[in-house]
Amino acid sequence: MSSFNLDHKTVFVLDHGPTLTESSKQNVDFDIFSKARPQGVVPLAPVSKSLWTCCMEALCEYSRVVWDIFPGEKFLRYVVSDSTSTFLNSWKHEEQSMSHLMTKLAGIGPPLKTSDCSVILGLVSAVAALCEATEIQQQTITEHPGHIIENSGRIVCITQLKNDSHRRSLEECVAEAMKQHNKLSESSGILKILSIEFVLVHVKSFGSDCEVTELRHVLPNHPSVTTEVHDVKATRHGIAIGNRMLNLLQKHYNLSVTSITGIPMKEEQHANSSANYDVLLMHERLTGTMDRAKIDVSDNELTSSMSLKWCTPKINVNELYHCTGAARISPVDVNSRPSLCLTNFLLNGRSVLLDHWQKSGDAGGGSGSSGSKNTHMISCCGSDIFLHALDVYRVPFEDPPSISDGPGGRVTDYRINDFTEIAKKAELLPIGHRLKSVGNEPINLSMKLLDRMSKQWPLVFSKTIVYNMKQAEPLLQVITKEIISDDEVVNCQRVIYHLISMEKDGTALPVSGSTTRGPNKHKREEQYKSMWNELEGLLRLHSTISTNHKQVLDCLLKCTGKESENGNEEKPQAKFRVSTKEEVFESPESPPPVKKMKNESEMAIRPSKGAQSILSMWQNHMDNQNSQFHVEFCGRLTSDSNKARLYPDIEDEVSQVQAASSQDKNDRSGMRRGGGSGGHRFGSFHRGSRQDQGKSGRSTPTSHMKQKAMKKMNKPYSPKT
Amino acid sequence: MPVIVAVDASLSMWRNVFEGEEKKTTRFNIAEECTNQILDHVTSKFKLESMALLSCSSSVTVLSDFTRDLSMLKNGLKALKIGDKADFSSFVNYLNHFVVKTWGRMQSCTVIVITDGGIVSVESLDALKNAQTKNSLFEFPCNLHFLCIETLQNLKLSGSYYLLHEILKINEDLGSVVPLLETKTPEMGLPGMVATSIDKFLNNTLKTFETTLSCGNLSSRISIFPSPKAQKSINSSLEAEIFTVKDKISIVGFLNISDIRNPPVLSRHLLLPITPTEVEDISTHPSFSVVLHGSLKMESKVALVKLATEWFGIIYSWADSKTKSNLVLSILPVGLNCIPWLGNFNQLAPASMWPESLSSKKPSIPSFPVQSKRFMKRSYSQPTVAWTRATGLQTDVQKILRSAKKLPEKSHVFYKDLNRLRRAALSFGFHDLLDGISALLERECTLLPGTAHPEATLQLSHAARELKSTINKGHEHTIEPLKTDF
Repeated sequence: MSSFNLDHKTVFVLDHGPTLTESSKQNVDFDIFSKARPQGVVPLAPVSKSLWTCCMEALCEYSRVVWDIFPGEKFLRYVVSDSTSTFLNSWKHEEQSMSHLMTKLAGIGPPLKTSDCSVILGLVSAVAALCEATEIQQQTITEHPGHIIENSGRIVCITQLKNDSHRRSLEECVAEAMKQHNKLSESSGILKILSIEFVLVHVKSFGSDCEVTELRHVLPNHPSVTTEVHDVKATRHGIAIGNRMLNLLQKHYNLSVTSITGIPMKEEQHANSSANYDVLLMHERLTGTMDRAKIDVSDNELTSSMSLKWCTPKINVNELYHCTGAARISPVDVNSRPSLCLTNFLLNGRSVLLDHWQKSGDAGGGSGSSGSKNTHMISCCGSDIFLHALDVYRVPFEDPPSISDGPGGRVTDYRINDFTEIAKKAELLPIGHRLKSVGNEPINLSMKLLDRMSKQWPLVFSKTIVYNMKQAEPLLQVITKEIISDDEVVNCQRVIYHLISMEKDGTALPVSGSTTRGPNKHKREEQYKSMWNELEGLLRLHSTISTNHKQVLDCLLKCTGKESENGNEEKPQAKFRVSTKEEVFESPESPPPVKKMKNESEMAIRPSKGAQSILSMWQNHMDNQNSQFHVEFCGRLTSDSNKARLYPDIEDEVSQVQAASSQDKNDRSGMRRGGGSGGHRFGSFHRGSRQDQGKSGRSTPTSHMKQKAMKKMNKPYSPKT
Repeated sequence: MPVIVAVDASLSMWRNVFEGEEKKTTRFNIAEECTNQILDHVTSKFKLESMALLSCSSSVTVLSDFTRDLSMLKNGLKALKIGDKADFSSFVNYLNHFVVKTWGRMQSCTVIVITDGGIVSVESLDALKNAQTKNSLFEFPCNLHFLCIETLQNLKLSGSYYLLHEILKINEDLGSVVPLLETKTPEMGLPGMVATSIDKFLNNTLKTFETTLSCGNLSSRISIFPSPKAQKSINSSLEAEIFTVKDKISIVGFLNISDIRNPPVLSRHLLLPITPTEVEDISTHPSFSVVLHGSLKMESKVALVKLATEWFGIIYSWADSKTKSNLVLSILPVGLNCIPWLGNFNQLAPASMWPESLSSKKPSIPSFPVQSKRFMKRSYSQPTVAWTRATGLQTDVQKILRSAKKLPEKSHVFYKDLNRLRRAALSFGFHDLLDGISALLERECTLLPGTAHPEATLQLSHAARELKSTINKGHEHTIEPLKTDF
């Protein structure tokens, strides 16, 4: 079952008969003089408003506030009733506006003077209108077929009653019409009405003594109809009717009336001084505050249940306030100068903090004792002005431990700037409806993007080599894209070729952290191995996105000698590459090029990342320096991690078997099989194997060609530092 | 969420638990022990939790205001004294005031009442039912638990069980009635029996809420403090649906704080990364939460996170003091359109998806705040006629007179305002006004100084004539300026 509140639909029945043509007996001076009156000029006689005029002005104010506060949520309709009944609008969104109402009202003109007028016709039409579904109700019916719509509504009839029995006949008429329509609803498709609130506004001119009893009761024979009668005299230029309607509005939609006080405004006459003004606003009751003010419907001006004092307009837009409720506002007097100043100020995009202003005792306002804290904020969000209630109470997790004291809090080499790049790419904008060829949920595009960007994303620099390399950046940028162009594939391939030439040239890799103790040839080999592993893993994860992604992976596999998983072709390449390395260094024991290493890692790579602390830079520097004086235990040098394995030969046989079987997975172990050993036995095979490979490398003409080709390719990437 | 322990201090608590036994133990003694156990449990397991201690009989005594300090709470407990008779309705009123002054009306709290079952009388139930102008028992979201030092059987026999459940009904069925005693005294004896019941209750009721926060393939196991409350959908057009935060919440994208503009939220929670148990040195084990926090803080961004279908929250860096910042989740109201200026959440897409070719042609990429174009402009952002007050009409007339004095330069403004006034008068059926204004313009004509432009006279008398003669020409008709040769 779907329920709609009583205030979802309201139908106004407007008596367009002779009784309302009567003058309100109240005159309005339209000819006033703001400055000194010229001599000898007599002001023009004031004009008097008819009861109809007073009512229509009041009706427009009521409607204005409803549409300001509940755009597209609450619906109003108007039936003009004389000798016939005429609808001024439908439930459609586009006919729920002031301009539509004003145009239609002008179309029907002042009330008729014929005697055959009655509101009965209008009331029957009003009940029929309540049986029609609004666009929101229609949507619910379409989306959830089988739901019973709990359909209620309010009928506000503005008329002049003759006496109480006249009232009873109108009540009876509404109840009877409802009964008939509900009967009809069983056979036809119209909505059944659950309950009606029937509000009779009895208007009379100043001095009239035609009184009816003001009451609110449930009709004895029709428990689903509640009647309320208001007796209003058009005193004070008819504003009594306007006030009564605003009071009714406040009650009908349970609105709060709030006064913004102390708004500084420059005076026209005294430009350098400013006076303080108050503006009265209506808004939905804010959640989190309890507005206990009881709503009394009277002919008096609305009174505020809460006063909010204007504070500094300076607000940091990057500060997030804890806001417990926000409500659209509508100024009670929309055209007064203070109102206009306030709304124009806010519509320009400014926000203002407000303080709860305690009058004597508890004025029924929300926030209780809050000291000097800002309790509210008023600002324009989109086309609407909202009043926000800010939380001024104790935070349930007051004074928590800092995140840096928690798990992972002491890690210093997080890739925060890199994550920021992801956050920038996945910055959401309301563009879903403008993107073509997108399903019904564009937000999923963002989910997919985040998924692609994070397929292999080490949290810290010390766990990655690839992301530390400026040289790899173009490839990393491209590979996370959903669609890669052919040109971009070529660019990626260039990067791979460049990396290969780097390895060949023996360029040190930017391995960060203190784990690079004593980098030398062996270490470097290890680093390149893990770099290739990392890169392959990354490309493999992305290779399923498209054939072009796959092509990049294929290129890498080809270059690292894994184009066919069981192939022997990789051997020459591997030998070739390792052999070229030997040309660079004289011997394995030669001191590592510490300075170069430092330059590479800090100058070429780090500035672009920028997330390294001075401490870690200093540590790197010291480590590098220290490593020069330090003769590394050769067992550790050749080990996988910093731990040296004792008696590696014991597992010799086992490891050979493992190496053979795991070569598919172990990305680059294949290249080293020339040494006749798996990854576990570097200590024993390195020296011999290298010479082996060296020879075969030189004697391989194809690899020589490749070398040349690579050099060519490398040009755009050569020394960037 | 804050926990309030209230001990029923009415005289009936002075009764012994089991009459026949040698060692006499009053219910009051048991209640004290229970309270101690609860205080120990909460302060040790939930270090951030605030607790308060009350005793209630005909009046309510605050033994300890909200604090995390166990010794303060224990000291407060020492002051617990037996009172007279229980009055639950005054307790509810007191509690409303007591909680709201510290936490406001949005913070949900757990209230544990330790009683012999007789705390709610028929009169107080009626009083509460009658006074219930609002929808719920309390002014704040409340989980209300009655720990009864009584067996279930006796509770039912005495009718207390029914009364307590009636109270829970008014509290939207949030809470429980827990009998602490069993009919048969088990071997461990009375204190052991009660302690086991309390233990079971605490483990069931007060839990840390754990979930996985993910962003694509990155994730971090986190606990949410205080535990997020399940929400009923506020959408009036559908059946109330219960929404709970899932055990995996995923970031769907990022927003600038300046764009999100202080949206109203239901509650806010601290997100604490949970240490994987296998890791030895927790502070140096990298955690995704820390990366996320650092980035959000640096960029003044929030992460939009999906809590359940059609339910979202925002995660951001929040600082209590200048030095200590943390990851905080603010839970938005249920629904895809809950923040009007952000539009439908499903219609958000990453900025990088905006085609470059498009952006060069149309430089205006849609951005926040989303304008609700579907409906008409608000009255305060367009010219609106409001004449219920005399000043409204007078201001509009003055405006016309001002531009009338500056004709023909202000001809455009003059006719625009004149037509606006004419249309409004027609809408309100205020035809007398048009005659009045016509007369006013004719008088202005005579008052024009000799230095005035000759066209002014022509335009004024033209306008005065037209106002009268076009009354029947309808709303659409526009009075055009007189074409002159000047």
